[in-house]
Amino acid sequence: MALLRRVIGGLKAMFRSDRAEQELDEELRGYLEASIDVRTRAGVGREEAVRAARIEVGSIEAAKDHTRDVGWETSVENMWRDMRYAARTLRKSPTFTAVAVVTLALGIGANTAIFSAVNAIMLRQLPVERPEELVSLAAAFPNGVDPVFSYAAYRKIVADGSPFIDAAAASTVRRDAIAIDGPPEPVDLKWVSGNYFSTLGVSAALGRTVQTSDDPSPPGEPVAVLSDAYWTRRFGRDATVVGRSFLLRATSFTIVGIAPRGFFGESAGETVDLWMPMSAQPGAPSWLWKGHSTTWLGILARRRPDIGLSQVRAGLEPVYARIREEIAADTESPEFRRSALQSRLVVDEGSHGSSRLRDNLSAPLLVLMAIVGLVLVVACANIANLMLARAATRRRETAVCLAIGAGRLRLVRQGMAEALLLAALGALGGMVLAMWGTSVLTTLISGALPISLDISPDTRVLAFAVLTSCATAILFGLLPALRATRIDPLGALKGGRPEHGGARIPLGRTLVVTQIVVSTVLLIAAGLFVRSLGKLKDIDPGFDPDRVLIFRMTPPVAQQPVSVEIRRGLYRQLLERAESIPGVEGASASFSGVLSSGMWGNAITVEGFIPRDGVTPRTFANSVTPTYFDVMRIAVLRGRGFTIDDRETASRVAVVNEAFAERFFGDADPIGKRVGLCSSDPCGSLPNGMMEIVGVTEDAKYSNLREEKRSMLYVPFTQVAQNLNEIQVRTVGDPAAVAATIYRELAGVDRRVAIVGMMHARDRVDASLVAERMIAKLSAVFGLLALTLAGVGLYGLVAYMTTQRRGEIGIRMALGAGRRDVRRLVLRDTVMLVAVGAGLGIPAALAGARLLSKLLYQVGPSDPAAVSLSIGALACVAIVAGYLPARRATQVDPANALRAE
Amino acid sequence: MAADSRSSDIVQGTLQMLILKTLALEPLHGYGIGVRLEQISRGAFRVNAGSLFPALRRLERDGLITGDWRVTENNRRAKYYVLTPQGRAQLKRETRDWEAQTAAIARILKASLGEL
Repeated sequence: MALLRRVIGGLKAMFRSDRAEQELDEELRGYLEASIDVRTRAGVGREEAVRAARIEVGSIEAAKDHTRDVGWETSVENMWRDMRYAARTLRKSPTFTAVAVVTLALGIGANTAIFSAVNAIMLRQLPVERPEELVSLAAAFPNGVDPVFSYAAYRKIVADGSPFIDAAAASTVRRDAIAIDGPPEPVDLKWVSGNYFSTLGVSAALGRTVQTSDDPSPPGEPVAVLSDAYWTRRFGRDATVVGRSFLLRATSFTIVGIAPRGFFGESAGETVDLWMPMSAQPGAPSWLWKGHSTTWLGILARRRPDIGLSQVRAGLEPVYARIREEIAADTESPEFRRSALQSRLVVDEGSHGSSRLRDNLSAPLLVLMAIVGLVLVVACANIANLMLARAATRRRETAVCLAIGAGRLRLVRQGMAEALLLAALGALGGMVLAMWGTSVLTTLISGALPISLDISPDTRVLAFAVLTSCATAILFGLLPALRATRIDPLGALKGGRPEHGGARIPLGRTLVVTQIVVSTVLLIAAGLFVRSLGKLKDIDPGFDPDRVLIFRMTPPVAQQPVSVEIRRGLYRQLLERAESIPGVEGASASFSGVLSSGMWGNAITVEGFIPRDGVTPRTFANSVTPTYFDVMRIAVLRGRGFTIDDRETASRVAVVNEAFAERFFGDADPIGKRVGLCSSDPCGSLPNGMMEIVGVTEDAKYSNLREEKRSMLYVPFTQVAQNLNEIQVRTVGDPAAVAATIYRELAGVDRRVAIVGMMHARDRVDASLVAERMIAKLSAVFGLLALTLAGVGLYGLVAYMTTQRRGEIGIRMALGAGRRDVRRLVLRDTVMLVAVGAGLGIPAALAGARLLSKLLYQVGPSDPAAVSLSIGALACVAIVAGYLPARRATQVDPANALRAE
Repeated sequence: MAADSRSSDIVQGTLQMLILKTLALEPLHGYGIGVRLEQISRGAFRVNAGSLFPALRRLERDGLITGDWRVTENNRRAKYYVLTPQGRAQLKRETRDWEAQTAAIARILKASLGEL
């Protein structure tokens, strides 16, 4: 009741504030008069009585203020008044306002942009029902975490884990080709368990989703669900597409439904065109369904109601124990058995799904977030310094306010209003900058990666921007406001200048030193990242990716299995067709692509090599066409490469790389030595027989640029059964000019082979450096931004101090000090500030850099080049910032300066 | 600011209770309340305008007193404050609480070891 009355009273007062004001005035006047009356009646003279009454009543204005403050509405009114006042003062000093707003916009914009990416990649939950109930499963082996399981393991988890979870499974996204009344076209598809959609709680926008009955023990129902994006892109949202069928690897699939808009699966950043029941995979080998030799299913599960995460962990523990035993029993490799027996199940909160993008970009993004946070701190320090300088020039004004009875709190509030207004303007500018920034970020992240990422701001990003700007307002506004009001009104009004620099200087110095410390840290970090990127760029991949186009192709399929001979014939046809195109220098094909994750590892036996620990040696292998070394420009150092004479019927040959030769033969000549590919591990039979090494190539990078030297064994494609997955075409001129022609020609060679992807090899190389390039570029930009801000702050402070010391300088010059002495006097200040800042900043940076070492490549955290470069940049800025005021100081006219004292 | 050093001796809530009490005796205007408080307390409490008016405003807001413009004995217009029924009830409640509290405090202050 009382509360309601207060609210109504407040609202009434707000609307009738004039009348209330009059009444209060009259009442207080009455009070004063009554007081005077009492005195005059007691015989005091009128004038004396008035004086006494005035003293007794105190400041009428203050009393009125206090009385007004009783209601809540006055705080609103005051806030409004403060804001209007702040707007007026800011308008009066446009330069200050512009500098502050731009500085803030840069700081807040950078933070918002990076946060948008953090939000999209790390924080956003899956667009499914009750995502907080989801858990993700992985198996942790002693040598790393395997996020995928075998089909048998998944089935076991479904069956035995059912009291705790509903487990759904999905393969990774696969590039394949489907034919819808025409030539095969590439699609990105995902094989999922029958309960995939129901577990995620996603229902079809049209038709139905994949359901449990589609996915019994293999073979399952050949049905498919389209993603909204693919439906739009390929079919123009035509509803009649439901019910139509297409061919995938010569099997007919029926489209049964469309997934809702915005549903991208369980992995953020992935594009999926089709979801199909996993047991319907055409031509899947039987070992895919039995045993644990192949792990290919990611598991995402939903907790049963009232079952907590720890209960799920405990409940699945015995389930996995049985799987572990099976895996161990299933392998012939003693090492893997040991490793499997030590593995354990990792159950984690899964509301964000699984994401390769998140795994790769989390660390760089968090580092960038810290960097932009520090930039904002530097920006705030700058504005705080500006505010302090303003407060110093407004000392008299503040003193008058205090003298006539304004409360300190009130003045601080006014200062904060100004800060908040600036922050709000800065946030507006920042949002605009952030929108531009996020598009730059998206390009940086996805430019070379096949991902779709929605970084558009949502409410969380907006909340972040608002909170950040409020935090900055407090950061740069509160301290100066408190400092400004802590003055002795009497002293300030008497016109006394603040003694030697005044109260602003110690705080101002601290702020500038902080800026220099933070800038040093940022510069050194940026230096390290740039150096690291340079080192990565300097890595010799061992092949020449320029002017090489790579095409991915599907294994040849038809109604009947395609024989090895026909497949080899198809590969020859494809290469011949490619080479016949004008502008093509040469074409080759291989099993493992250029820097691809699909590596072929094999146990081998090497003639004359006895492994010391009795463990069967393993190597990476690749099946290539004779032109491969030439097209990829992989130098053959000794012996020869493959030729067309290395046919099916010719004697078995192999080419190894230097690392292979060194590992197995040391200094001996590998040419003429014999090796064999084992069918199993440990080595059982040799289906290919022994092969004679005929050549040695230089080492190359096979799956990523950062890998250590790996032993590689090349075999001619004619002498092994492996399919070739990638075609490499070297062009004479710009590959872009002929890319479309080559693609069209290759796609037209034979319906049994589909071309499902085309890429410039250079882009493939660059894609592996996306995170590094992003962090190097952005950290350099932000480091320089921080340095510039710190430079401006330093200049401002030194210039201010010099003005304050004009009198002193005048006296010194009058007493015979030369210009050089004066310059030294001022520069000494600057050097001191920078030295203290750098002295604190370098150890801080070196300590911090150790946290970054995981993100650095062949660059130590205390890399001398990075550190000295940053110090150099800092010194340059310091010299400029210090020299300008110093020169101005030497132009002081001693007579003028002394007269002003 | 320094003017209300004496009245600050009166606890905020207490001042309101005292105002209610003076108004329970008869309607008074602002200055009258101050004088009456000083009289009754025999000069122990002196309330200045800076504390009195905010307190009056608060009481009025809460509906415990109402203001009424009347002519004073000196032929001037002044706002006389009157206790509302809620105000009277509030005074009764606060007096009771106050007495209970002071009695308790008095007991504590008088306590000797023998009684425990």
